[in-house]
Amino acid sequence: MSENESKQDRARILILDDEELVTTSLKSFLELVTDYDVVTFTSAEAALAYVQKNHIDLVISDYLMPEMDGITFLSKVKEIDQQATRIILTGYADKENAIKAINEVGLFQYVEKPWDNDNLKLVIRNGLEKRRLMRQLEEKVEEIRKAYGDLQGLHREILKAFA
Amino acid sequence: MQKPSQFDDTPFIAFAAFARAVSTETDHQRVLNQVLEFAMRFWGAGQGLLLQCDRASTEFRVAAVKGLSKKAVQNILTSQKSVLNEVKKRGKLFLMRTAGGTRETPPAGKPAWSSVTAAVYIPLHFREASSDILYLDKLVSQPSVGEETPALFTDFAVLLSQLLERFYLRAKMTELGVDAVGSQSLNVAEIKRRQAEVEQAIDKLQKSQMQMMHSEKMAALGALIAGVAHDINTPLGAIISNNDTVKRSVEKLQQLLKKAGGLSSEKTETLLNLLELIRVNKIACERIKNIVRNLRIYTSMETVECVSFDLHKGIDNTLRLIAHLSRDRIKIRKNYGKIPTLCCVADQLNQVFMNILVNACQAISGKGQITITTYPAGRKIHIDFEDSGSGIPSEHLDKLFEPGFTTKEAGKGTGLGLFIASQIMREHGGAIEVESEVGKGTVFKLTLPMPDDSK
Repeated sequence: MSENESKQDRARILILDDEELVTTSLKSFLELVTDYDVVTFTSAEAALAYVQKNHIDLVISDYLMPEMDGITFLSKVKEIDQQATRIILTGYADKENAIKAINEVGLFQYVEKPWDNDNLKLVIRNGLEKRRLMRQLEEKVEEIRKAYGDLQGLHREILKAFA
Repeated sequence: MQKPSQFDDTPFIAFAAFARAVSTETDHQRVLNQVLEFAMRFWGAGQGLLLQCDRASTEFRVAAVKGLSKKAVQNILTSQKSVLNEVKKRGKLFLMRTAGGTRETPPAGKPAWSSVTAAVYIPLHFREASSDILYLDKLVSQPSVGEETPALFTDFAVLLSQLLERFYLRAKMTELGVDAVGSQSLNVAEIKRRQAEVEQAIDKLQKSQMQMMHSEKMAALGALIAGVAHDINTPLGAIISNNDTVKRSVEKLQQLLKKAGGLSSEKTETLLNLLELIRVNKIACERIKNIVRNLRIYTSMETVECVSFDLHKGIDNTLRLIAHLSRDRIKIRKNYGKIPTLCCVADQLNQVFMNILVNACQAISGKGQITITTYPAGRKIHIDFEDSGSGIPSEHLDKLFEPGFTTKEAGKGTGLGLFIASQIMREHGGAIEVESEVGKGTVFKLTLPMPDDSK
């Protein structure tokens, strides 16, 4: 595979679209050309329930859905998992509304229907990269915080020693 | 038929003169007074009363009075009411002899023919909603009370009716704002002018109504197209994606087979066939995608980006795309002038060029030529596309930019090409015009506003 990720590091992608033909197309493509673990849903409620219980790296949602629009869905995903990269799939007609909402909710990207496979793949890869970098950043910050704590402890001990 | 009057026709000549005089009179009351006075003089009456009554009413109003006191008038109105209404109803004059009645001095110059005093009620009938009654009393010059008398009275009544009717009509028209004062007959030229004005107004109204219906139709069509475009996109997206995925799968299969060394020529051929079909499918999908995109541009579903655009390059690119239509038979002549690059939606303008050029090529049946001329003029950039094609019949010119108008056979044209072109030009602040002569060719004249930074 083009992505050099080991089995346990496989990124998990959730796709939500009320139309099964879209989720199937996306899943088939991604499974062929990538190593991602792709889960698909046609119901927002079911998808949210899945996000609650499972670790997700990236979420792709359709914009116009009968049950719940994509922006609402993605903002709920954010409440559950701050770090998951969120991408919206929009038709032409709702592009303007979608972009406005994107800025409000803070999404990673929007992808237009009909989408281009290569472009979509790239967007997903960048999204996952961002997710990975964010996680790394968090780890580093945590390390620094820990090191700083250690340093302060050391500092106190030194002061004590010279007192 | 009436027998010819035994009287001298001098009174009628007098009447004609009177009528002429009255016809230029504009004061309502004065006319009524003059009518009464004339009638009295005509018949040598000492007293006269002109009464008016609406057709549906039985109450009479005094229009003019002479030689009668207010009380006497009131007396006539009440005591003679039934007579008046009878006269009005029957429409026949009524001669009432008042034998032995008081008789006053006859007006000067009138011979006292008879000592018989009579009152006469002369109904004057109008086509309109009212009728008048002329009451004359103390007739001193009463004509012979023979058989002819009523006939003469009737003739006179008819003449007076006509005179009054014409006057009333004139007054009414003045009231309605029809300017016909000062002329006996209505000013024909004036009537014609006003008629033309009314016709113009009606025409304008009809046109704006048509425009309204047209724009309503447009709005409905726009909504329909937007809906269809949206509905097509999702399945189209799936097909495009799947086609691509299938292609990748086939390629993967190809590699796997090659690695396994099991790639026979038959297998290779089958896989190549598959890839060829996938390639064609992709082209077909692109076409659908473009159609949807073009429709979207028209319904402004897409926010479009303006870029700096070299019109000449755009035209050249378009010509290259339609080279298969023009190839050996059509000579393309370019008279490119010095025009600045524009900030515009390149795709859209290319689409305009495409629509016009394809039409031009199709209009030329055999050999011919297309001349493309660009030049700046004032604050505008002009782009003319002239073809030596069959031309457009004048009855089609008006409808040329209407959606759905096409002269191409079913399936060959959507009738949207020039409509979309005109929409695009309008959105760019420009315009599209057409001049055509059947048998000679057509010129499509495009204008675009000159960009602000170039003078």
